[in-house]
Amino acid sequence: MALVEVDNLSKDFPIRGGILGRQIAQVHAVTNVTLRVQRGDTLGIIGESGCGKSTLGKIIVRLLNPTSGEIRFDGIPIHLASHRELMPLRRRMQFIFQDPYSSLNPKMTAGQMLAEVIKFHQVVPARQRSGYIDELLGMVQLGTDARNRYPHEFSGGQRQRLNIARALAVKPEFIIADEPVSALDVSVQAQVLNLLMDLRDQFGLTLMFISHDLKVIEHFCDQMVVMYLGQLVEKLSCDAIHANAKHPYTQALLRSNPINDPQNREELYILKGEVPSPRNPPAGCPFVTRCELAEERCNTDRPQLVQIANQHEAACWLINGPATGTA
Amino acid sequence: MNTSEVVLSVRSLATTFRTEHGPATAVTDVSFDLHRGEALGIVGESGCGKSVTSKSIMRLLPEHVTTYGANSEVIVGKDNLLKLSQKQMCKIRGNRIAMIFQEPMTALNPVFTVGWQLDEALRLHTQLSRSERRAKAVEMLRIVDLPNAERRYDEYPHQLSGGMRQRVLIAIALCCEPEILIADEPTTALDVTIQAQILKLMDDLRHRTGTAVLLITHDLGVVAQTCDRVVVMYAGQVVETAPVNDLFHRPGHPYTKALLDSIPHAGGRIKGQRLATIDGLVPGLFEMPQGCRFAGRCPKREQNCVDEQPEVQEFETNRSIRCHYPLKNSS
Repeated sequence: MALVEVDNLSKDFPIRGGILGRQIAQVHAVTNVTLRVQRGDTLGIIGESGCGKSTLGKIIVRLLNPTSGEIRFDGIPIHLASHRELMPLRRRMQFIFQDPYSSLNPKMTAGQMLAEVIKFHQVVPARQRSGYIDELLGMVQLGTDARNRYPHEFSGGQRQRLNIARALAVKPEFIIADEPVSALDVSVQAQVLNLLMDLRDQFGLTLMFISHDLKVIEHFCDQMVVMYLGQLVEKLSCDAIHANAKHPYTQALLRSNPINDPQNREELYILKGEVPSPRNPPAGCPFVTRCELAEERCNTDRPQLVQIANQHEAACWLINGPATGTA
Repeated sequence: MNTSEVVLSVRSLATTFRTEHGPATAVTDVSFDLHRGEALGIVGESGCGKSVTSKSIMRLLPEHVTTYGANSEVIVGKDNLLKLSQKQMCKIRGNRIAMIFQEPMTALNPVFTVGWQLDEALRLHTQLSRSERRAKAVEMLRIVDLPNAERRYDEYPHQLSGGMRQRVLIAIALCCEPEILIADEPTTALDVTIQAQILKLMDDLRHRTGTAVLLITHDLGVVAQTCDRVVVMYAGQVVETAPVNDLFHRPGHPYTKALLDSIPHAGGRIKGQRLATIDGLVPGLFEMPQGCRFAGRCPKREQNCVDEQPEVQEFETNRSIRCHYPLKNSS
């Protein structure tokens, strides 16, 4: 059984206006998302800004409440769970935020921050707490002298290590990392990715990794899902993405990413136009306004994710199944 | 490319800030040439001095705390920009050198229309009449592929998306046909599909107008895609200058190689493979080592790297490097 099961999950945010603050419209941030995260797997979620990938992550750990749909964690339904019911589960799932500075309390030292989590969740008995904090700091290669330092005394990469240590403090099974390296320089990004990879192997963590950077997802994840305008458009294995990607949007993403080889410089693929507003997404396929291959029915009928190969699903009318070959 | 005319020449640029902890030299001994029609990339990680370099060229740093080295020169035409008054600089900025910034929202003034902001540059630097300026401005908006250019002219920045704002900034920068365009992280705040649009646009305009582009970025992919030559900066110094192919395929400086190795490679996935990292941290502004600034993190370090600062030296053809032991490449 999958550790995390999400079925038909949707989230609408109301837009309020007028002097009475009545709801005047809705933003469809996440629409009808169904996915599974298998135990021990790393699932990447990729998409451009505003596609709903962070919202999806936050709903799964119930930092936001879903509008509709179901979420099960280790078989336990949590989409309607109360604060109290969620409490024991919070120990098992953790979240790492994008901005390594604003997610740390500037008035607490690294040691105090870790102690707070450990105390609250009673991870270890009080007398072992100090030793455990040192162990955690060592685990993320910060060194025990980091204990008495405040967030502003750390560099960006060190702060993200501290965030990782805080997430690991409760010995979770499942971690959602929301753009954990996008604020970091490439050399530091490499350090943090290596660290996450080591910890994943060491503790057998299940990870959901949200990013806009295809290279990072490809390197780090086993499976990935591509989001566009709140919907999943493709799910595929991270092995040989370039050969397998079928959905026109996934292909556009791949081909608009510059490659690090000036000798084989290819003209970047230019996807025309911009993402439509999630206030009134197209009735049919979300990608229809920018898709070069769009047909009549793409305007009117919304395609569902269909399996087109082993571990490969796509939501596109132009992909009928494995028989279509290379799109 | 090297035989063509040099439009911007930076010589031994050193920029020092007065701070409460004493003088901080953010960049030192930075030299490079920019040729007509060329795209030159400046790459480096945060804090390496690439933005200070571009702002020094434009003289945009706060004057009362900034001093430039005695022999520093930024030559455009016959002028050393570092010696000009701010009044004289106003005639050059936006006219002969234009700049686009990273954050397209903060670079535009939210209380003026797009048209007003385009008009400003034309008003200051050309003799055109009001109606001619409007026609020129709308034409510029068309050139940067802004949909409904006529209507956008009267809109405010908040009505535009990030990609459209960056197009407006490019239109403003190019409306006086500058010889030099400095683009400081022009696509960092944008999504990849929009980034591709903007990079293509800048490339087309460069080929059409012959404007030389100085592209400042931390993204090596963008450099590989758009630049002819690359300057790599580390801790306030230029460590390597090379044509883009040589740099990516045969990096000469250990830092350049380490930087290239630390990026995950698209398509070349080996599951679970660790990324190469650079140990240690960039030295702080007040604790620069006396020897090579990269020595503390360099895998090829020898004793004299720690003792003695390497000078920039010629390396192969059309390349230069600041290293005692440049990497020998077979190719």
